[in-house]
Amino acid sequence: MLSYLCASAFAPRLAAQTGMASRGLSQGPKPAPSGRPFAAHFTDVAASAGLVSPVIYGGVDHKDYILEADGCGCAFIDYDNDGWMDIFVLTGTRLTGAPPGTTNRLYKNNRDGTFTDVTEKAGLHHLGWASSVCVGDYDNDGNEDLFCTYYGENKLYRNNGDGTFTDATEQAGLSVASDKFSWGAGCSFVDYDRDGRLDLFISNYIRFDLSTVPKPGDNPNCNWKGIPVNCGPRGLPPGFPSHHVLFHNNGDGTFTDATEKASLSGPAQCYGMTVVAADFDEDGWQDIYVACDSTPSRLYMNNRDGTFREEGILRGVALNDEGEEQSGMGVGIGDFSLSGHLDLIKTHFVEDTCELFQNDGNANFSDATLSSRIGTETSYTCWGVGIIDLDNDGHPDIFIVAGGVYPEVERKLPRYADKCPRILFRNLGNGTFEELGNEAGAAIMERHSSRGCAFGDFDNDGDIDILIVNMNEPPSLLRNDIRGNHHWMKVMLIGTLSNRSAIGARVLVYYGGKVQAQAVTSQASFYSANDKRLHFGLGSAVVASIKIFWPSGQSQLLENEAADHLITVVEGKGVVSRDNFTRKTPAGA
Amino acid sequence: MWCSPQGSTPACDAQNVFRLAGAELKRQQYDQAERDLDRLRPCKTLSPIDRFNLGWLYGRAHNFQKALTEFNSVNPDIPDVKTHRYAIALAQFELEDYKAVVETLTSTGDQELDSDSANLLAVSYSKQGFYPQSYAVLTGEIERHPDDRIAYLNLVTLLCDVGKPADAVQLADKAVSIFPHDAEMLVVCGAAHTLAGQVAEAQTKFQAAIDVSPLNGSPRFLLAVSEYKEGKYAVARDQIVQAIRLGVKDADLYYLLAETILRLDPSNTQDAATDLNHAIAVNSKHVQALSLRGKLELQRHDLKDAVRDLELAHSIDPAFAGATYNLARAYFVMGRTAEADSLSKQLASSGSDAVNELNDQKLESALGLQSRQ
Repeated sequence: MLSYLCASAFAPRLAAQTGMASRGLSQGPKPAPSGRPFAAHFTDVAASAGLVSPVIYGGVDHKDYILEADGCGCAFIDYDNDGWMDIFVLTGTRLTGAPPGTTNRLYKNNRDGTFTDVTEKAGLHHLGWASSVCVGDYDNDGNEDLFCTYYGENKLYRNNGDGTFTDATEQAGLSVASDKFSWGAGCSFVDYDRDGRLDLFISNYIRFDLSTVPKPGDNPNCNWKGIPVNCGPRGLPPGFPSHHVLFHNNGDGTFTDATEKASLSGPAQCYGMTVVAADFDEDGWQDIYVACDSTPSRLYMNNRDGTFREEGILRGVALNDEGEEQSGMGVGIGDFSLSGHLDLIKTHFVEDTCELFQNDGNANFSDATLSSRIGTETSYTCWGVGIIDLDNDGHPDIFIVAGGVYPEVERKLPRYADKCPRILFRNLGNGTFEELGNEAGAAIMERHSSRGCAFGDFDNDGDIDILIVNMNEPPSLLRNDIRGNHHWMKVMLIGTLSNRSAIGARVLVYYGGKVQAQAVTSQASFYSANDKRLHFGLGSAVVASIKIFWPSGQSQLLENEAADHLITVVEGKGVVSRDNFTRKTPAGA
Repeated sequence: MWCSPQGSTPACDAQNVFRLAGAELKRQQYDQAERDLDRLRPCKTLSPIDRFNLGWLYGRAHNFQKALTEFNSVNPDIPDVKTHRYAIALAQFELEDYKAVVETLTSTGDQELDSDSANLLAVSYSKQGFYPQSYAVLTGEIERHPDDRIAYLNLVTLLCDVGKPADAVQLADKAVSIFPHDAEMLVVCGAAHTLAGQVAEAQTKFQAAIDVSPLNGSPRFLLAVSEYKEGKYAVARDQIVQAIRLGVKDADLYYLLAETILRLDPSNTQDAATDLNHAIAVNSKHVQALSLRGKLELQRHDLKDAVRDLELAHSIDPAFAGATYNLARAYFVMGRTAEADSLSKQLASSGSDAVNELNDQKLESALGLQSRQ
């Protein structure tokens, strides 16, 4: 008999939906090592520094809800203005009740490599499901304030300037955004209207009602690799009351919800996470980037009239270069290509690449993930991240922390470890990176289930150290003991016309024929805040020029500044101090 | 007069029209064949068997409604009861009226179905979500006809479809032991192993299919893509290069070769572009290849060529995220913001990546082939 049957009878659905966006990419082959020595060397000194209290976050071996899985951030903040970075670490709790003493913690830097827990004294004791922290002097009084997001009510802590903080949430009118099911995620202070005062942008993750959230295994969003796991974010309702909220600073200690006025309202279509504000198109106005989990990420371009327009997809930072959603968690900004423009990196789920986006200066980004070779690493779920020069060779490196969200999976599938090493990509200076391990110190390969991390120089020795939040463990503090003779420069900005924290300032440093851009941010990495003193490795250069683009729109050029100094610049005034840190010999070196 | 006065074939000479249409169908000239067949429809003198054959040829020309009309215009024993019933059911199947297929094939009660009808009935049950009924028909068919390879293929697919890949693998392995030199069976078996996450076993089956049918591109693609997905890009590349050297001419293979080249050396866009050109030469509508070539052109700011390739890819498959995304990016860079905006709105949610999507299509294809009689 003749046949004419044309249709395929069966079409089994092969690409099973899961709660998290991922591509199922296996680890690719790594290029041959360059063999070049790496000058940075990291040692975890958290215990000896006094950072011994664990960050409590949900179940240890099993997590029934996504609420237990996402974790929280941390901050380097000089809360007492003594010139030394103090440490603020968020915490969560447990559905079964937190162990006694669980709280966010503020650690004062003793200037000798150790810290003292001053949480109670500072009035920062708080227990809840904390997500993120952003830092900024919202009242322009010279003291850095804190804003923390939570599942539940977010908190604004005003720095009183005497070592204490006051919960100013209600007074500032910031409690209105929350209801009991609201899950605050990323946040950033940002002066979007150039009035010299820091406004506040908050992303929301999901509206999370424990009584209605499905249980592990209940639907395809609650399974991973055939194993029942906590559900979401897919399948759960996005943030409440809107996916993002923008509060305008009224200048009197209060804020007004400006979300609608700024054209940021609308249906929630993303699971918002880390927020980074910066002037990506170099027009002198602050733009806002939101990493979104399993939905397209957002880039809000500033219309210079108090409103924004969303152009993440069109500008190439919402999806990967095949148009796919990814599990956007953390965001780093910096200038890996030394183009003088702010590039972006966004971290993602296991079996997917972290995405590196190169900026052409007009906020048109090209995807450099594969060409830079960072796309070879897909083994871990990645969170905190920074584009930061770790070895002071003048080429910003990439540092990422990782950790699983389904600890129970590892028992059945050991390949998907909950505790993961840190990931360090050294910038080879030719547009590519190579992944390093023990070459950068034993601390790099130590395994933890990490979330937020912050970059800063806690021991004022001219290099970048790293503070890391570990789930249900004390934090890590990776002290960087640089070898060799590379030079550096730090730039500390104090705004006058601009907000005092100079958040949003873009700085170009010219050294040895190169140029590198950085920006002062209120939040970056994953839910965390970095040392606001911008750190530039200079390689062999002993002088550098600095061009500052203040958030007010003013710019300033400082020529031929000597290397190995912290340069403090006051807007409209110029350099007010040049501090030459005393280099320290690493312990045991 | 509806017949061509210039034509040498008399209007109602069924045999001549059948010969003409048959030749056109061989050349895949479906519209022309249908037009020729249409000349017979008004003929009052057509015998019942010719009218049945007219219906069958309409089916081959992809006009299933006309086929069904012709089948229904003759007695149910033309050419015999079983064949007539099967022809009607087949037309109903192609018209996606699966309920009607079931009614047609089960209307005779206890009468045993032949193998073609049994498979068609099982697939129709499955299409409606009646998996237990489909399972019962297929297992009964295999019991009655242990040499019915189509029934094995259908049952493997059914088990995959209902989320029982382990059972599918067990059955597929058994089928391979019965039909050890059947390349299609080996491919299906490998596909089942792939769905069950048994990569090594899948690769063994794909390799066996290649050994049986060296010029068949499908198992070669599935073998290479399994290596690709394991991150073994060099292995995948070498397998594809070997296949091409042997004379396998397959657009999917050329496309995958381009992907592996870029994975191994992202700067080697020239070699990748060459293989994409080969892929598109073999299949000018290869969406993934057009999309990747467009993306590479966009990267080197060759906007005109990028838009040409991406527009074509997007027109062929508007749901393919890679083409939509990169076309939106290209429009935006060119200042065609309204078009860019419109496309970006389509990207609110996106699917799997290009290689994964093609892999899934190939697996689906492998697991769907068995419905072909």
